[in-house]
Amino acid sequence: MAIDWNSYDTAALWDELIAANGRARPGAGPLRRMLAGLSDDDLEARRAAAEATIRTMGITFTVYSEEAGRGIDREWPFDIIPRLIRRSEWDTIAEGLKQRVKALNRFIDDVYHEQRALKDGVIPAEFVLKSKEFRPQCQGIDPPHGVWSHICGSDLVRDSDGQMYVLEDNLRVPSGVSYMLENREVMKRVMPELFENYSVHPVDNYADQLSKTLHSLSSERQPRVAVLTPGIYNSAYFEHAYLAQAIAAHLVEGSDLIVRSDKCVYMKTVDGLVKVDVIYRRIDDLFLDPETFNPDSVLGVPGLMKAWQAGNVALANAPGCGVADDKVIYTYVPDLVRYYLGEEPLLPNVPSYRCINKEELEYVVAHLDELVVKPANESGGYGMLIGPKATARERNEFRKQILANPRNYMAQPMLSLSTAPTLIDQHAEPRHLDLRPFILSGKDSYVTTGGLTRVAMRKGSIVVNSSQGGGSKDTWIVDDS
Amino acid sequence: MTASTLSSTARRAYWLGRYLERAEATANLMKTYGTLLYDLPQRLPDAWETLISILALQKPFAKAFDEPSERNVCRFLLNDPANPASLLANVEAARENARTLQGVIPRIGYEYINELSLLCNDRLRGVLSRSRRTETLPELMESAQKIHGFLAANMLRDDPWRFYRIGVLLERADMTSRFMDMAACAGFSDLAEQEAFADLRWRSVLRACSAQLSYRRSTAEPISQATVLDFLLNNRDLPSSLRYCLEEIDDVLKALSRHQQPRRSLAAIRRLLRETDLAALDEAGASALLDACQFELRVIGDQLERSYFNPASAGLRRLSRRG
Repeated sequence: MAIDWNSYDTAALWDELIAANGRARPGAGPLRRMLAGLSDDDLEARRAAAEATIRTMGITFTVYSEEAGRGIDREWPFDIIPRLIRRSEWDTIAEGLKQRVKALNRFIDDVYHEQRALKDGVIPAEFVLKSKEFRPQCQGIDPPHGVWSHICGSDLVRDSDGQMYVLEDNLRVPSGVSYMLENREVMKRVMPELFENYSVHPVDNYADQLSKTLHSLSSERQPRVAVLTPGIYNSAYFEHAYLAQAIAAHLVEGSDLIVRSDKCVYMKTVDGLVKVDVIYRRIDDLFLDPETFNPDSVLGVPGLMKAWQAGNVALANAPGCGVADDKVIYTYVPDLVRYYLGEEPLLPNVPSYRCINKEELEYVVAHLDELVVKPANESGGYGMLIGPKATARERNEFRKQILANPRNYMAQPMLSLSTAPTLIDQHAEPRHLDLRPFILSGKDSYVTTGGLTRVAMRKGSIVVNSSQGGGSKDTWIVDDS
Repeated sequence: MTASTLSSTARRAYWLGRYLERAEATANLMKTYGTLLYDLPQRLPDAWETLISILALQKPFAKAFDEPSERNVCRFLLNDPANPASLLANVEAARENARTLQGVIPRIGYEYINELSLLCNDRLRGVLSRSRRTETLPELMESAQKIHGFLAANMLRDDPWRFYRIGVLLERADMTSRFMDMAACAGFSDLAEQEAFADLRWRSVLRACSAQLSYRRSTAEPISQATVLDFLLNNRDLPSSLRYCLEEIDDVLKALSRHQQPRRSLAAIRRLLRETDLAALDEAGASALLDACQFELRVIGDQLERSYFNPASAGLRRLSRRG
């Protein structure tokens, strides 16, 4: 019968809404009561309403289908129970994120200039210079404000002791922010009563902030901004189209742009060629410019790198910023914060083992059944080993890979990710989740109010990626009182 | 700052208009033609094949089906995966274009297009019986009209609107001419019988163009081939007449740069219509005239492609001044 909080079992985990004694955590009381007051029919009606709204609004993500031989659209999965974070906690997290991204941007700028941190031994030079994401073409370039990663999405997880950790920083082309915005929109449509009892901090100033950030990269008074997408079959196409309209930018594909002999970028319009000043690119470095990188790329724009190097167009994010996105380099971020900013990190890293160090490597291969092992340059949860859940054979296979190329791996203890009540067949069950806030850096910096909460819909699973069956929740930053 | 419109955006807005209009017109054609056939003698063997030839889909149809039965033709035109011009395919193409136009279509308009697509995917499954068609086709038309209405009421009157509008009007002109084909070649082999049903056929054409009432209000003449042709080709005030569509396209083009070529072609079709003596045409003559119109309309489509949509076109070498 509906949601019965007495039978909600948080086990030994940290639940975001319900404490171990079954009571609501501070701030979650009205939400807990309101949900308990809904009948099975009410819950089902709202779940169905959310689904219908998402379908009508066209909120989709694209996954590759073997059967269709191309990407197909799936409706964005959404859980109607929001996740709450108190304002006081959020403010600290936001400060920590700004600090972190500031240090990371200093690091990238340093890597492509004097390489002080490498010379001072803060981080081994070979890690950086041999990284797949290090781009010699970026050396000596000075992007505006010294910022390389203008839009960063950092993944946060909470362990069973309630501590938030940074799991990784996505500095290249992070996606998800449009779903954060749309989740709020859907929430307002299907659970309007909830907002009566809460003052939820709005999320929708993100578009203005993104626009401001991108504008600050050009000296033009009213710069022309374009969002560069690989096209309609890309998994994040929905987001590209969404953001372009939200910031009143042109949504372009590589074939819409041309670089002329003046090393400026133009877009092809019905009135002729029009100069573009800022490009928010959602294409990986290696596909940006067939003249510089992958010559087979049809997604990019020939000559784009030259235009960027000449300072005639701003690229957000700047090419080469992935050098700081490497999961092995991640393990050095707290050191980078201390080195560049002279401050103690406000947000901790998940403790990590670097397989490049002999003792740590030995520990890792001996304890694979306890660890999560990640390759340096993969995203979306691909190519990693979740030791405790893997078979002995998978672990053996992975051990060989690690020993063959220790530089390419790092390992972390398996965290007990926090949970939140999630609607499963008209009752609430705990499901693991993470949080991806977005950090903007240009002339100023900005952190989203909350972020995108992703939730693993399968019981016990910690895989939150939507491409692998993950769902999402609206994330509420609420006042403490 | 004037917002320049990407060539690719212009092309998509244009195709959005065309696909939406074609979807609605296809539904309308099937609905009207079905009703007409119920009134005609049972023994017309190729009655349903006419729909295929009106829409110039003989080749893909022959590949997919042996026999132009009611069942096969309806399946083919509504939702057959082998037909890239089926109603469902048109709606899906409209939706795909709309997805890329989220920056220029108001959000609610985009939601309405999604609704139409969801409705089509829900209703157009398998083979549709006569009664299911009777129920479904008006529902789909209504959904399509809602989109046109919303966009007409709310879209900013800038370039994307203009191209969307040109797409709608060009498609409408084309479909009106095909509706007339429906009467001119309804599959009769017996000449006397053909004569006997002439009025009925031409009245159906008016109905397909939602123009019965307008016809009565504009002309006192009884229904005949010549009067209906004249009405649907040359009436100044009827929104589905060729003349109306062409004049309005011309008006829209005036607001765009580089419009000389397509405007010259428009003038040529209008001259052809003006100079043809409709009263002197037999059914074959009417059919030939309509074919000529359809050909010229295609030429205009090609010119739009060259002037505005094709990134490789010569016109693009010209630099636009910063607004």
